[in-house]
Amino acid sequence: MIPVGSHPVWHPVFESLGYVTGYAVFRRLRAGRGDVIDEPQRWTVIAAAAVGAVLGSRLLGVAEQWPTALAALRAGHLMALLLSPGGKTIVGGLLGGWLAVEVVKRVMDIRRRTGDLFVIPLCIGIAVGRIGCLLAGLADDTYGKPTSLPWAVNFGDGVGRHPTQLYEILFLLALAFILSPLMALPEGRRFRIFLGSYLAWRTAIDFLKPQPLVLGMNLIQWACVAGIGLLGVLAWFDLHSARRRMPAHAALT
Amino acid sequence: MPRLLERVNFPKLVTVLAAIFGIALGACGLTALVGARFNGASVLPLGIVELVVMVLSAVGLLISLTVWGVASALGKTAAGGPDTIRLFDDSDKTKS
Repeated sequence: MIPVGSHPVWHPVFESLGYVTGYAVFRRLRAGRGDVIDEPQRWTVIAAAAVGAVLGSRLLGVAEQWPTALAALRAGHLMALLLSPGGKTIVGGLLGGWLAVEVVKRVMDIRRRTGDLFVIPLCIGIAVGRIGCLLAGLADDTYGKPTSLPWAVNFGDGVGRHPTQLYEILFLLALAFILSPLMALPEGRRFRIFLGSYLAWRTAIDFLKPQPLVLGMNLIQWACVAGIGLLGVLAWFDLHSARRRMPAHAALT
Repeated sequence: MPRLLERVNFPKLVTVLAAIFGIALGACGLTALVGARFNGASVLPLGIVELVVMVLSAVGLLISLTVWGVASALGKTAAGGPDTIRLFDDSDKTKS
């Protein structure tokens, strides 16, 4: 067993570092490879993503711990509900941010796909933030179930657990490598592959986490399944519209 | 009010406030948990700081979003709206 202990103070430090690192990578990529929209539009998209992410991550984070949240609500302890530990989840942040950006793009009539530039910064930023989750240990809701594997970690209670945070860091680094800008992909595809891969990963890895279940999965997994379903519908629409455009294009040539 | 859009960079302001609010929100919950487990003696002041940051950033975020929305709406109205459709285009009459 690898001793790690529980150090919750490091969580906000690494979360902040994750934002800073993600933004630094974003700036570097944008400066190097350019952007499909101008700077004011980009910042509006980022603002929408940030607000949507905060709301989505908190809503799903509280919903994930629904027995605690329900007990706090029934007892009228709104402060306890507001300050419930952990209480934020990356899946909710990604889905909330994505939906908010789509709404703002519709309002502002932005037709270009804007998510590709966020893929590598998100991979790196989340990976850095996950170091804080690992160090927070039992104070964070991201630790794994008990295991006797040689790489099991001890968060201070003498129980060996799956280091699910480390698994995710490795997954994100691999995903960043696969989806690196060196790989040529049509506009918008990179973000959708990232989102679909991450949601599929979380659906799988969350089986290793001791969270309250609803019909065999936790609420984050259900949100992942819903997100994957939505991505599937969007992919089907894209394919359908591409097929409809094809005969007209073929007739012109 | 529309000039406010040129003077204040609302998207950047909202992004920064949302990030601060998000960090404080998570940190505050974590500190509350640690406080509950270890009687809170050593972490209570930190929890209060986090709570103050959380409340201030939330209020700032709400105000910024409201002012941004109102300024954008007024800006659109003042500019006549980009989507205004002219039913009768009489520009040709001036030519003859």
